[in-house]
This record gives sequence, C-alpha cells and structure tokens, in this order.
Amino acid sequence: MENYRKEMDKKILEQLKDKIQIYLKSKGLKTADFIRENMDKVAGLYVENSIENGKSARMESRGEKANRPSEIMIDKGFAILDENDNPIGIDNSVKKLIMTQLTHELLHSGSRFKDNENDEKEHTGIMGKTDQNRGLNEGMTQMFTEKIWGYTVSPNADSKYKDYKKIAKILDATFGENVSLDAYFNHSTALQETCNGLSQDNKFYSDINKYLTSTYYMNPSKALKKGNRDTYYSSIMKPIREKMVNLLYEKVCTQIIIPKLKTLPKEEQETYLYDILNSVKDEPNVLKTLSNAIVKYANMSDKKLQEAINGIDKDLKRTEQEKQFVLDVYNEKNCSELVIISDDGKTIKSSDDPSFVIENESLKEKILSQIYFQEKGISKDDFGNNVKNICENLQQDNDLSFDKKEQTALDRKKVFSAMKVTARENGYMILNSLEECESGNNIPLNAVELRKGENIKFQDLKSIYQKFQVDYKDDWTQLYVKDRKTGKEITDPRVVSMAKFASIWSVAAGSKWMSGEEIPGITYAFNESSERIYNKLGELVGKGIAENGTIDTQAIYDEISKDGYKHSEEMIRTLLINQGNMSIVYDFFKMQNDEAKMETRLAKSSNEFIYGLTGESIAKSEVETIMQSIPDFDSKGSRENAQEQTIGISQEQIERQQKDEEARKTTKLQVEEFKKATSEEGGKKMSGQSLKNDISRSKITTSETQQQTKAMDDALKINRLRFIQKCGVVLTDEQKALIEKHTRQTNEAQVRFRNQQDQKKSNGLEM
Amino acid sequence: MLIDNMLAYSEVHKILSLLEDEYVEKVPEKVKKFFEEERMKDYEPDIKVDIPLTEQNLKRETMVLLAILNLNYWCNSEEEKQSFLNELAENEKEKKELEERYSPDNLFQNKKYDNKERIEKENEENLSLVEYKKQNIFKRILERITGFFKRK
Repeated sequence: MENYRKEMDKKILEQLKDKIQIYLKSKGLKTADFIRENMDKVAGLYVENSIENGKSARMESRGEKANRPSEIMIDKGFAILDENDNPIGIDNSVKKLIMTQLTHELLHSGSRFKDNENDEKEHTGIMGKTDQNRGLNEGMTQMFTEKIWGYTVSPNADSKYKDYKKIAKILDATFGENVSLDAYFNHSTALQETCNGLSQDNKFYSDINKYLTSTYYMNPSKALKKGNRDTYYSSIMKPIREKMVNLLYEKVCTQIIIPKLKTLPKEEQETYLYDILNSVKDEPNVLKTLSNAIVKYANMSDKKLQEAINGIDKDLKRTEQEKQFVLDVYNEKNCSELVIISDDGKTIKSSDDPSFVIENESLKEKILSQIYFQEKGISKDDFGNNVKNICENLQQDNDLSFDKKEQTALDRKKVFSAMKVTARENGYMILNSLEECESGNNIPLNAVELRKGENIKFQDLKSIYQKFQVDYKDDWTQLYVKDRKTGKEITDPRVVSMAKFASIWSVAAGSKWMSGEEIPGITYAFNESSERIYNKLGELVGKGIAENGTIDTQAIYDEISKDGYKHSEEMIRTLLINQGNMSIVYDFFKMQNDEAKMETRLAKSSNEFIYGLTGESIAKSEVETIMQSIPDFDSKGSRENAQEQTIGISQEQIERQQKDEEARKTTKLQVEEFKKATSEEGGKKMSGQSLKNDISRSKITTSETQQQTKAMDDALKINRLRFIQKCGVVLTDEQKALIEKHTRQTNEAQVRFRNQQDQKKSNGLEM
Repeated sequence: MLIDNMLAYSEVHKILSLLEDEYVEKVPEKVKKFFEEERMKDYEPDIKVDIPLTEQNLKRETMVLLAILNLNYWCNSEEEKQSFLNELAENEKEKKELEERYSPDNLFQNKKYDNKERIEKENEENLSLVEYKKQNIFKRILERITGFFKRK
C-alpha cells in the first residue's frame, strides 16, 4: 500500500513569503529579493503521514532533486481533510503555530542555494558542504522565525530545537543581527570568524557545531534502525543529551559571554546581560543555570577560566563517547564485548579506553537484558508475553521468586533486567530496582500500568509519590527523580513526569502535615477532596490541550477556586505558580492525552496573572543579581581614554614607556613563577591519609557529628527556601521569618568577627 | 554557635583547596559550594600543608566537619566506614565516662572524699613528696577541688 501523500493548495505560502521578504528588507539585507526568488522555487506543498513513515509529526523543506522540484511537506495531523481524505486547509485551532513553522520551512528554502556554479549541490543557511552545522542551522532558522513573528514558540512544542535556538540567540545578542543575517542568508563566514575571534580559539565554532549536531542525531528516528528502537532508549539517551547541552551552554558562557562582558563598559554590560537572559527566559532552569554560570566564570582569573574551558572540552568528548556507546548497544553489537561487569553485577564499565562506569540504571538494565537474551537464545516475544501475564495478574503480596538456575546475584540481575525491559515494551513499569535481586530472596513485585494516552489514576500517582522523590542537582537549578530507598536516579521519562507532578501536587495539596505520616503532607495531598480537584483539573487541562494545545491557566484557576473545598484556591495557585511548574503540569497531562495538540506559546503561570511576574521581570531581576556579583572588568571606555593620553607624547618617550612596561611584565612573570614553585597551591598538596590520621587524633564523637550535621541541614534548608523564593514561590510567614532570622544572625556574626579582628589588630594580634 | 560554624566552614573550605585532588573530587559540588557560601568571608585561614592539623589551632568544629566528610565520602569501603563509626562511638563512650567520672554532682556525692580521707591524703602528701609528684593529674585536680571545699 502506498504511503499517504497528497498535494495541498500552496497559496497559503504566499503571505508568509511576503512577511519574510518585508522583514529582511527592514533589516537592510541587500539579497532580500534573491531570497524571495529562492522561496518562489518551492513548487508544491504536500501532506504526508510522517507517523506512517516511522517518524513523529513534522514539517520539512526539501531541496530540488533530479526527479522532483523543491517542496515543503507538512504532516497530516496539521491539515483538515475532506471526506475523501484530501487536504483542504490547515487546522485552525493551532493555525498560528502551523503558520509560524511553515515560515521556518520557507526560510530553509529561501536560504538554499549554491555558492558557486561549480558546486555540486545547494546548501542551506550556515550548513556548508557537510552536515556538521545542522544543529545550529536549525537554531538560527527558528530564531529568525520567532523574530519575524514576534513571539517565542513554546518549548513544549519546540522540544527538538529549543536549545539550538537559545544558543543562536545568545550569539545573535553578542555579535549583532547583521552577523547572523550575513552568515545565514549570504552563506558568509561572518559568524565563524566572530566566534573564533572573540573566543581566541580557532576550533570554537566547529566544536560548538559538532556537538550541537551530535545531539540532533541522538533522536531515535535518526540514530537507530526502526527494529532497534524501544521505549527504554529515550530514558537512556535523554540524560546524555541534557549533559551535552548543559556543557554547551557552559562552553558558550566561558568562551563568548564572559569575554564579551570584559570588552563592555559597565552601563552596556547590563543591557547585554539582559539580552542574553531574555533569550532563555522561556525555560527557568536554563535561565538560572546560565545566570549562575556567568557569576561563577566572571569571578575566575584568566588561568582558572582556561582550566575550566579545558575541563568542559574534556567532558564534551567524554559525553560523546557515552553517546556512541549507547548507539553501539542498540545497534546490537555483542554486548558482552562492549562491557566489563563485576561478579555481583553492581559495577558495569565500558570495555574501551578510557573506560567509564555506567551510572544510568535504565542502561544497565538494557545491557544486562541484552546479554541475557544473547546467552539464552530465547525468543524475546515469548518471554515478553509471560512477563505481561505476570504484570496483568499482579495482586497484593505477589512475590517474585527466582529459579534455582539463577544462582548468583549477576544471574538474577540479568533475568530481572530482561523482565523489566520486556514489561516496559508491554506497557508496564516494574518499580523494583536491581539491588533487590542481590539477596536471592523473593521480591514483592511492584508494577504500574503505563498505557499511553490513558488517564493516570490518583492512587497510582500516590504509589509513585511513595516510591520516588524529587530533589535538586548539585547546582540547585535542575530537578531529578530518585528512588526514596536506594537514592538511585530514575530516568524513565514517564515515571519522571509522574514523579515530578506528584511532587508539586503534594506541595500544593499537602496543606497540613499530620503526625505519624510516612511522608509529611501525604494524607492531605491524596485525600478525597484532593482527588476531586485532581480529576477536575485533568478534565479542564485535557479539554484545552486537545482543542488547541493550550492550558488556559486563568480560566482553570477561576473554575477550580470556586470548588467547595477550602484549600482549592491555594492548591491551584501553588500548582501553577511558575514556568517550572507549568512545564511539569503540561508534560504530565500531555502524556495522558494522545489527541493533544502542540502548544503555540507558553501558558501563563499564576505568578504572572496574579502577581505580574513575567519572564522579562525575572530576567531583569537576575541581571541585577549578576551585576552585584561580578567584578569590575577594565571597561572599553577607560581603555579608550588611556589610548587618547598617549597622543602627543614623543615617539622616544613611547618607546621608553614600552620598554619599561615589558621589563615590569617580565619581572612580574618571574616572581609569579617563583611563588608557584614555592607555594602550597602550585606545589605540594595535603595528603588525604595524613588528614584521616588527624581526624582520628581529634577524638571526634558521634554526638558532635550529629550536632554539626543538624547545623548544616538547617543552613541548607534556609538556602533551599531562599532559592524557591527566588523562583517565584510564595513562602509562608514562618518560612520568611526563618530566612530573616538566619540572615540577621549571619550579619551579626560577621560584624562581631570583624570587630574582634580590629580589636586584635589594635592589640598587635591577628587571626 | 553560628560564628564558630562560619569560621569552621572557612577552615574546611581552605583545607579542601589544599587537599589532594583525589579526595576533593569525591566531595559533591553541592557540599563544596555550601562551605564556600556559608563561610566567614573576612576570615582567610593560614593552614600549612606540612604540619598536622591538630597542631594548627583550628576550630574543633572544623575537625568535626572533616570527620563528617570522611564518613560520607572518603571511606573506601563499607568496612572502613563501619570501623570509623565504631571509632566515633568509642570516643563518645570515653567522653561520657570522663564526664560521668568528673561531673561536679558526682564529686559532691562521692563518699571517698569525706573528711577523714582528705586528712589522710594530706598526711600522705606531707610524708612523701616524691610520690605526690607522681600522682595522676586527675587525682590532683580532684584534690584541688576537695581542698577548696575543705577550706570553706
């Protein structure tokens, strides 16, 4: 049977071409008419069924080939069809998003041409002769699309390109629009030259492109053959992708943003920082990560900064190696040769050099299950059916016991991994971890049904909450999900989405804590009234995202606040409080709604419509914080003044001054080298073993460690409250009082210490 | 007290900057950042790599914090961790015994130190100066205290 492919009236593209041409002319691009000519070469607009072709719903711009002219394709899901299945128009409920993304495709078409007549083929935007710049090219295309339309497409709809476009926007804010326009529409080397020039690294531009494009090809439809794809892949590859993207933000920060800041006078630094943070305001965790990175790196010496850059490059290489490893596992290379496993199955390392330890639990399970099936030679389908039966007939107190053949912990882990992986393929998530296999005792099996597109039951949500908790990563910017008992990170996207929602639900709905609760607030969070609110919320959100892809937060807030339950207003206000929470709510309900349409732009949080806290105001507030935390760099203005002063001095005097300056620099270098050779930092380090001996000699007691741990926990609690307050969460009076008390006590301690020091100095002593 | 903790955080922060990379890497960023942010900013401890920490007049709290880091991050095996926990418990026990033995309440109630025995001790002191000098320090402290009460 032929795949679906039908032509649609392409007059819809005309108004978009006009819009693009007007924009380009307004920016002074001399080749605007030439770009229009290229867009006019698009001969047809076709509708296809991407899902039928093994891909997700999409649009594509296709260049001219020998057998067909240039065209644009959109997925069947975006079109309205008549009774004969012919496309007659676009879905009006998401019309703005479709028109925006058709603009994106037209920009590809418009920027596609040969640089020379002798070139074999055309290339688009910044792509050049190879595919290496594909990631950033998509980012720049989306950046221009959003500039033309004047709004930011929701990251929930733009999940593939949201980071590429943020980096494109950062580069655009740094070098100016003319550089971006020239590089993209004229195929010039402007962007490459400015990037490498500012970073003083000839490989910066090519490296950024290489790694961005590497993340592009992590997508399963691009990375794997159809038969090798499974539901585990995204939980394995997603953390690797996120790691690489975060490293790329760090790379851009250290090699572009910081050097740029150092060239600007103070009054321009603030404007520049605002432009940077405004580029990423649609995702609060990215904004916070970037903001923290700017403060961290701006306060480093040049030497430390270079060390940090080297560290980032090293980590990027390592992450690329991890990605390739996963692809090797999925391309069914012999898993036993790819890994080295400890006898108890606890540690799995890659067998290449340098080797790395595999931390991702899903990847461990995938590897062990692959080895199991390779060793046993049994049919995965038969095995899967047995597992599905077990999960379907699961009752309370249903224990799993191991066959006597599974003698060792490793044997048990292999078969259990095979169970977990095949259960996942059949719509079940086995919540038990591999560690539970170690003892050889029976395991009380705990499985949750994960039917795509079906509502998640309130009681299942409670089970997830009881099993998993959400915490912040080291830098307090990113949330992750971990098993409450084992502390292991969970990466399955569905479970992560459920666990994050359960966590924010319990904060919102767990209005009171009762004594003796297994988890504080769980009783209230999952009582009957809360369940009613949850069901109502599900109805309202589900309706919205099925109709037009949006969550009308204002309407939902108004509706649910009217409920008779006295905590309903507080619950819904807290649940939808900021963009971070909104993203979690959106992911959770989209997962349950197969018919959900893509979100055009981000829904407003309750902080926005109740308190007026927009993304722009948060970006502005972050800029103020950054400006207070970064040092005074040498400004461009003061350097210019210094240059002016040399005018009028004789040549001889200038040469003498230069010689003196060189001599001072040489001496300074020599002194620094001497210090380095004799200093502790540059030379000898404190031995860990001698430190341990000192600890033993100090006769520390258990109660002392307990007291000190409590003091640190209290301080961490205050930090956490400060952080969530900064994110826009409204604290209780009690919480605010805690922060104020801690701040007061800290300030008093600092003043007291300073006075002590001054007293000692005046007495001739110093600490 | 908070001021003592803040000073200790400064000292730990400094020690971490001087410590072998292998040990520093084991401490999570979150924890290192905690010490950096919560420390007494005006206090820059002068810590020498070559001299034992116990001889460098550091805060008691500093050593406690290092013990916590050792327990959580620097023990190489479960056995080492358990051994360190036992050491802490043993130290706790010794401390309690000392506190119990030399608690002022116990001294008041201790029948050993009735008048008769004090007088006998003094006689001992007068008769055997050499032996008196060799007495255990704790016994000397006790005698000072009981002597104080006697004077009253």
